[in-house]
Amino acid sequence: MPKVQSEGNYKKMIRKFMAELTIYGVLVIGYSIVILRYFNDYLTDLFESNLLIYSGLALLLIVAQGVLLDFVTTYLVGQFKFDEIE
Amino acid sequence: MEFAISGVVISPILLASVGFFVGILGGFFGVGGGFLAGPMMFLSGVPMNFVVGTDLAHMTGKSIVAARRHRTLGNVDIKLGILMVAGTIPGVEIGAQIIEALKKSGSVDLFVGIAYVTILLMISLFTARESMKSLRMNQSDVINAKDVMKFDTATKFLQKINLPPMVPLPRSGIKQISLWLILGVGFITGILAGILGVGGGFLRFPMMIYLLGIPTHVAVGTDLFEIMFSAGFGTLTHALKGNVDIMMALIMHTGAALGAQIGAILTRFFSGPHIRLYFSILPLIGSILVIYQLLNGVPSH
Repeated sequence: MPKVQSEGNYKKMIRKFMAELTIYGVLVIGYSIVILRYFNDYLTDLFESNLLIYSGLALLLIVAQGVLLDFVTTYLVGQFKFDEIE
Repeated sequence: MEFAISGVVISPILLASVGFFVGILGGFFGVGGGFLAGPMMFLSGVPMNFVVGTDLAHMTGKSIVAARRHRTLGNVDIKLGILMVAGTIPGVEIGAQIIEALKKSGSVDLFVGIAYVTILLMISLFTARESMKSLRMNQSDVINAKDVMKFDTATKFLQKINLPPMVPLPRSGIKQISLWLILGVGFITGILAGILGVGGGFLRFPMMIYLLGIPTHVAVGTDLFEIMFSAGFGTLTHALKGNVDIMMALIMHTGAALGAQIGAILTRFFSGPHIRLYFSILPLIGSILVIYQLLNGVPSH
């Protein structure tokens, strides 16, 4: 495994990544629990009654899980200055 | 846990674990991973129609997360990705039409199975051979380059084709390349993906490297960028047919999103030939799974 960065940069990058991954992990799990807990019945009914709206909502939910939570993570990492940890 | 939409009882931890595993592979190799997640879901008891749609849904989210991470690492050539999408979409449609024609002849599963295994084995053997030779070149200090490639005959030949309009791809380190060549590669991978019923990441990845001459890391990121659109479109069409269990997809994506981030960051620590060498194992696993499906009569379409 070739080393591509200096040790200082490497450690900093790993630290920042670990902070991002931890925050993102908490958010993404929380998001899934909230959807499962509060929207399960609604989405099941929608699947049976209106596939068009269900399809749009399904795509929206999965994109939001990817994009929105990533934005929130980036924002939180910036706010708590995890990217400046030495 | 019961998933009311698909009527399946399955452990969410198992789903998240499958997502996590496929997510790491997706982030590292730039593939959707449907050829691995699909059989895993099917063997866990998910009906085949929900396997395809739900897998595409989780793939959409995963590719967004991984592509965003790769973009921060400078591994996404957006212009190339958009041009490839433009070539891939008509290709997929033609591939799907070929499948419909084959269905009428009644031997579609056997034909697709044999074609799939042949293509996967060819990709696996070629990539393994080329990457091992490239690594040997690096070790013997014949060429000291981060992303040295042993097989570049086709790349050099194709890059010399002067068929306007020519487009520059600075992110990929290509001064000029014919637009038709990019569209053509996208089109061919689209046809194959349409015929085989897969996202086609494992086809695009080697074709981008060996035909267009895209650096391995950029091929990984750009492939994920393209999967965002193809999988998103696939999710929508399958959802309209009632083939997507969004609850299942969200749980799979919980694991996949974390795995994809780890896979993407791991590419930072491996050279191009190393990534290609490890990639060569994936089509091999895929072909074994297809042979298993064929022998056990599992439908692929």
